Parts: sequence; C-alpha cells; structure tokens
Amino acid sequence: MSPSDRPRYQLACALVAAGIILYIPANVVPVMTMTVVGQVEPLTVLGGVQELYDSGLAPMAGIVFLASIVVPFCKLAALSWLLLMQGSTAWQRQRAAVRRIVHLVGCWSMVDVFLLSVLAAVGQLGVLASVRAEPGALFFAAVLVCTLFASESYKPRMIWQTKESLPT
Amino acid sequence: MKPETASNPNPVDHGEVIPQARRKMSWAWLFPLLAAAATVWLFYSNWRASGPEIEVVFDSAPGIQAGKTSLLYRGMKAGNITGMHLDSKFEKVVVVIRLKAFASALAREGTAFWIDQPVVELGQTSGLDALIQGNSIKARSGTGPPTYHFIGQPRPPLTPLESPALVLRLHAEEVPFVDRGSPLFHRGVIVGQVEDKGFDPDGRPYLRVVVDSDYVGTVRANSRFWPVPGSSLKVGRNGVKIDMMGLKTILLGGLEFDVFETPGEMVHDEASFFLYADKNTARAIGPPVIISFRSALGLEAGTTEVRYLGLTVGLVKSLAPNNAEHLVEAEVRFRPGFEFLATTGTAFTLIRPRIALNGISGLETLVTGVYIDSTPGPGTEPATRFAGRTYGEDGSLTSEAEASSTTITLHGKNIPPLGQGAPVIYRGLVAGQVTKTFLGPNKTPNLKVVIRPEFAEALSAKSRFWPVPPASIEVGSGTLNLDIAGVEALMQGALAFDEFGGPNQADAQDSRYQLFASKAAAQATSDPIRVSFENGQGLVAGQTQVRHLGLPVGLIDTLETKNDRVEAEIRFNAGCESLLRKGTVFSIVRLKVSLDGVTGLETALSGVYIECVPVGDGTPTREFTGVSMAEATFREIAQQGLEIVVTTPQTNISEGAPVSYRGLTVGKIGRKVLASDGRLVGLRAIIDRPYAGLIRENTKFWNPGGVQISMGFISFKVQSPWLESLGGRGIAFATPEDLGPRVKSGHEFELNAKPRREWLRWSPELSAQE
Repeated sequence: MSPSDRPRYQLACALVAAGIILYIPANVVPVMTMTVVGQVEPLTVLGGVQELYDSGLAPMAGIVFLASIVVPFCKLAALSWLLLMQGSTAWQRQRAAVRRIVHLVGCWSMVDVFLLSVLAAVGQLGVLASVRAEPGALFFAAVLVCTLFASESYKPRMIWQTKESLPT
Repeated sequence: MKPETASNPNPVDHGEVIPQARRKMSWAWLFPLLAAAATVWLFYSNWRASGPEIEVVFDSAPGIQAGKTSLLYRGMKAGNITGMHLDSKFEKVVVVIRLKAFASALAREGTAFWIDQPVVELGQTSGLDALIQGNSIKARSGTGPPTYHFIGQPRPPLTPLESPALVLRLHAEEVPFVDRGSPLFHRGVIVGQVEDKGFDPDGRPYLRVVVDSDYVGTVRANSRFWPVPGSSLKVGRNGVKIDMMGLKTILLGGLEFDVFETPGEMVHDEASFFLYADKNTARAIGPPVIISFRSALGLEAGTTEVRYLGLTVGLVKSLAPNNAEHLVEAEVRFRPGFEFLATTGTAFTLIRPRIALNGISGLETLVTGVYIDSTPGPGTEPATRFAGRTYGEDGSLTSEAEASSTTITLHGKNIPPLGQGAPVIYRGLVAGQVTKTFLGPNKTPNLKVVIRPEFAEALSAKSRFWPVPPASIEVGSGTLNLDIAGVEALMQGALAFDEFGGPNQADAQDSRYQLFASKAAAQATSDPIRVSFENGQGLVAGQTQVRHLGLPVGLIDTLETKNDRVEAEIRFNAGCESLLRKGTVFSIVRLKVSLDGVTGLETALSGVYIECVPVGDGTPTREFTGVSMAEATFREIAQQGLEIVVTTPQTNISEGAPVSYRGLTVGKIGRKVLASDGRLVGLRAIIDRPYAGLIRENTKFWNPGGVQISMGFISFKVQSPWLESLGGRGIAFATPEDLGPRVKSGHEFELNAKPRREWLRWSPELSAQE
C-alpha cells in the first residue's frame, strides 16, 4: 500500500470497528416507540420485523429484515473482509466486485433511518397513535454512517496495492 | 507496511517510521473508542434506570402481556412486565416486573398490586381507562421491609393512592345489607367506605370499614355505629315523612356513626366497634333499667321508645318474661343526659291506644307505636328496677288542671260521636277539650267541655258551638273547598266555637250552651222568618243556604208543609236584617238547562239554594212568599227599568230576548204572558232606565226577524238578528221626531210584523227632552 493511502486504510478500519461495536446496541435497544390508543409499545429492529410478520405482512417483514439487519451486517462483514485481505493478491477480482456492491448499496443504506424519521413525523395522531424515535435509532444511524464513510475511504485501488505491485 | 518502509533503500529515510505511524493511527481509532463509550453509556444508563425485579402472583392475569403491559404507580409508568409464567401447580400466574429505579421503593411488604381492568359494580365504576388503553397493573406503595415476592390483589382497593389511614372492624350479630363501597356517614358527610365483610374465626360476622385520612379524627373510642337504611318511612303525628338517602345508599346501603357523649380518645388502626341495629338503639347507651309490666302487648324490643315530656329519651332493648311474678321485664336504656329518670319515684306508664266507653286515649300510638311515658317523681336515689303501669288501668294520668279551667255543658238534639279528649277549637287554636259525654235530663245528649283558662275570655254568652267535621267539601259559587282537619280531628272529631253577634244564648249563665249542627247553623243567629214555596224540591233543613248577591246570608232552619205549600223557616246571619223587608223576593235556584243557556250550574254540586233579592224599600216583615226563578229575575230587572207591554197575536220571541233601538240593545223581554182577554200575547219588556226616554206613546215596535241582505259596492252583508240569541229574536222599535208623551209603566204597544220604511229614518233628538 502506498504511504498516502495508509491513513485511509486506518480510518476505514477504525470506522468498521466502530460500526461493529455500535451494531450491537442498535439491534438490542428499541429504535422506536409506537403508542396506539394508549398502548405503549417499544420496538427494536428485530421486534419491528416480528411485529410486521405477526400482522401478516411477511414480504414487508422480509424487506425490513433485509434492509435493516442483513444489509448492515453484510456490509460490515464485507468491509471487514476487504480490510483483512489488504495486501493479499487472492480474490482480487471478487474483492473489487464486492467493494462495488457495497458502495452501490451504501446509497440506499439510510433508507431505514429516513423511513423512521418520516414515520415519527407523520405518525402523530394525538391520543390515538404516535411514533417516537428511541436512542436505538441513533445507534442504528451511526452504524450506517460508519459503514458509509468506511466504504468511502476504502479506495478500490487498495485491492491492487500488493507488495508485488508497489513500486519500489 | 512496515516491511515496505523497511525495504526502502533510500539511505536518507531512517528512524522516523514508528512515530509517524503511531501518530497516524491515533485519531482514526477514536471512532471505535467513542462507539464503545456510547454503547457502554447506553447500557449503563439503562441498567441504572431499572430497579429490582419483582414477582407478583395473581389468580389470573387477564390482558397482561409480557413486554407490553406497564406497571403504573399513581399514573406513572413504574416498571415493565418482563415475563409471565404459571406456577408449578398451574394455579397461579406469576408476573415478573422489572421496576424502574425510581420505583424500587415499591419492592416493600405491604405494597398492593392489582390488575386495573374495567369494573362496573353497583354504585362503583372503576378502571374505565383500561377500556381504551388495555389492562395494566397498578400498585399502591407499602411501608414494610424490602421483599420481591407479592400476592396480587384480586380487585382494586377502595383507596388506590395510599393505604387507608384508619381501618375499623365492626362486629354485629347480623350485618346489615351493605356492600363493598357502601358509604360511611358521619353527620351526613361521607367519611369512608365499607371495604370488606366476612366472618370471625368464632363465626361472628364483621365489616371492615376504611376511614379517609381527612376524617380520621371523627372516629372516637366511644363512637357508635349503625346502619343507614336506603330509605325510611316515618309515620308520626305530624304526617308521613319519607326519607331518601342518595341513590348510592339506596343501592348499597350505608353506615353511620356519631358520638353521643363527650368525644373519647382517638382510635388506632384495626379498632373494633359494635354495630347497633339502628340509630335509636345506638343512642340508648345509659345503664340498663328494668321496668316490669303486666303485659308486653305492643312492646317491641329495639323499637318501643321511652318518652319524657313527649321527647324520646330511651329505648326498650330487650324483653324477658319473669315467670315468678307473671310479669314482663323490659330492659330500658336511656339516652345520654336522661339518666336522671332512673331514680326512685319515676313513674313509667305504657301508653297504647285504648278505646273505651269513657273515651279514646293514646290515639297517636296508633301511628307512632306504643311507647312508655315517664314522669319523674320526688325521689332522687338511683334505681334500676321499676314497676310499670298501663294507661287506663290505673286511672287517668293526664288531664287538664280542671280547677282553673272553665267547664261548660253543651246540649243539642244530636251530638256528633265525639271522643273524650276531642279538641275544642277557637279560631284554629285548641282552647280546650271534651271531657265527658252524657245523657242529660230531657234525654238530650250532653257534652262536658273544659276550656283552658287562657281562653276564658273568648267564651262569652254569645258564643256558639258547632262540631267540626273531620273532612268537608264546601262548594260555593265557583269554588270548591276541601277542608281536612288534622289527624286528631280526623280520628276523634272536634268542636269549635266563636261568636257571630246575634243574641245571647239563653242559658249561658249557668254555662249551658246549645250545640249547633254546623258552622252555618251557628252563624245564622237571627230570629226565624217564614217563606212559603210552591215546591220545596231540593231544600234541606239545616243545609240549604240563603244567598244574597252570591254570598250566604242565612240557612233554612226547618221545613214543613202547610196548605199545600212548603214553609221554610230561615235564620239569617247577623247583620243581614235589612233584607227582611216587604218586597224582598225569595226564589229557589235550581239547575236549569234551556236553549238560552244553562243557569244555576253551581247547584249541580252544592245543591239548590235560595236566592234572596231585596226589591223596594218595604216595611220590615217576617212572612214571605217564594216565587219562581224567572219571576224573581223579572222583578229584579223590572225594578231597574221601565216596564212596557208589546202585544202581538202570536210570537216565538222568547223571554230574555233583546229589545233593540237602531241595533243597540236597550232592554229585554222579561215575561211572556197571555193578555187578559186571551186574544193576544203580551211581551212584558223592560227598558233599561237610561233608555226609558226613548219610549213614547207614538213609538212603533216591530219584529226585525228574518235575514237582511244588503249589497254594497264591494261588500255583501247579511244581517240576521236572530243569531244574537239562539232560538229567540228580539224586537226593535223607533220613535218619530215629534216625540209623543212619555209612557207609564205597563203601557201597551202593538207589535208590527215589519217596519215601515220611514220608521227606519226616524231619528228624534232626545237630549233636549231628557
């Protein structure tokens, strides 16, 4: 790796590490509280998926599950893999493809947070129903921000910067 | 990387690799550090905000969901239900609650947990918010040592915010109908509620009562409790009184307490009290006194009152036979303040209704129940045993102080069935009473009456007595008066007296008075006059009134037949003597229905009466001849106007028809008579006095009958004079301009069938001549 890319690599590593740490509370702590006719219901991300599935919205549940749990997890996993493989010459093509996918998906990764904020803003029906974002949402957003910046600072050229390819 | 740096062949580049690398690493790795710190803080704050975990055992937990249901304390969320499971025996539900940190003080013994669900009970509705928000678990904090296992309450406590300030246990032989939530009254204020009822280990029922913290001071050690009936019916001498407590009390009953002595000490929690059967029982708390009677007839334990000067001062608590002496012993307790009656010399007399030949006594006990009257005697030493008496058996107890009273005797042909003690009323006040009834010398019934000293002045030689009927309906002209005397008069009748002018009662000096049949008879004080009638139908001696201008002025005293006529002896009220002159017309007013209308309608209800109209100023006389109503009316009118006779061969004009002059009614046909020779019919018309000047010798009369139709430019007018009085048209007249001489009363005119045209144009000027 070129010396100029070393801070980038460091930053990506640090952000992925932060993302992994934040991923835990983001999924454990409720992201929102739904109050429907007086009944207060705090929901975690997984709880929300469960709720959707229970109410017969299996495809919705699938989408949310994918977008909110699988995709962030896969992004963190993929980025970790890319960073760990740094310097190696193996799977270079595949790694480039993975990075591209991660980058592409990154554009849409904030959809969940956006959705939640819209829901919290719209879902204010006074006594009947209200939706409120909880600290979990902040952590969730932080995970996504971490992965976004990590994938941004990880440049594709790093895949190809092996010991052999570096000019001496 | 390090190998790369190390492999750099550049000799200038040395020794700076490690510090540079370390510096570059340091700032980026702040992110994971921050993330870790934030996570740790999040979990730590969550952990800090949650208190201990407790377990509450319920019989059932409807509507409770783990993870969703909240624990509420004073409306605040104080914890979450984290889990629910059945106990090992499958009999109870264990609800695991994670308390919030601020609510960890709830994990104490004495804290009550209950499931808040909608409860609609008689008189109490709670948990309505749960209808919308779903059931929740609520808590009321206790004060005991910390614990983590609780037994849930099966239903919401009556005081959901804080533990009751004072809980009392009320024991009773038999608990009244009260239910959870029944109010506890203290002098009309609700100070608490019934919380629970149940049985002691020894089988006695008890009530648990919760007193609100604000009213703890009202309960004293010597407070007495009794149940309040939802409604009560009280029948007393003054009438019937229905007492209705609030709706809640009607539905749930209630309890009341009060202190009847000097208030005692404050009570502690879980104090025990006795619940008395009713307020009277609760009030009678004096030391027991035994009164023995020969018979317990009418006595009732817990109901029969002891009275002193008419006040209720005690109560018969129990009755027990004394077989040795064949007596009944009544245990009596006095109310506070009346214990002085339990001294030697006090006489206790059982008062019950007694109807005997010599009178009726204790009549009020018919409605108020038998009672024991007490009369303190000279003794002052306390005593606990008394021999009771029964009124009537041991001689008269209560009688007016006869020495200073005036005693008079009343006699009459017929006296009403008055009882001994019947009141004698003077202008509404009870002035005395009947003491005795007996048959006098000439087989006339007599009444002995005692008049109180203070009414001695009201009694004079002119006083007239009459019996007051228990209830009477008086129908006057246009009024209906229903008069019901008080209960006493209703039961035993009454006498009344007053004076109405008139002459002295003949034998008033030796205190003998006549008893008149009625007030009207008593009022008719004048000497009798005699009026004879052809037909006396409807007249009743002693009842039929004589009226003048609608007011009663006299009364028929006697009726007899003489020479095929009915002779009525009439007495007039004082001040009406001016009516007794020659010329006064007496006529019997009866109901008369004719096409002209209905007259004498009031007689349908009040019976016939005699109308008396003074006509003229004759000399005083005492003999009169009654006339028919029509004749009386005619004479009355004739007195006020000019009488003329209009003759016609035949007519259907009826009596009372109008006589009109240019359409103005100036008189009316009084009587229709056959002229003396029988060829013509004479209409005796009365012309009102102001219009008498219109009648001259050359006046023309005609019959305006028929329908006149006149057509104007825009109007069409139908005149039909006979419409004025159905069934009888009147007559009209006109007088020419050259006025003839005035006519005298009784002048005869001829009735023309139609007016001539010029008659209608006549318009004499009368003012100059008038």
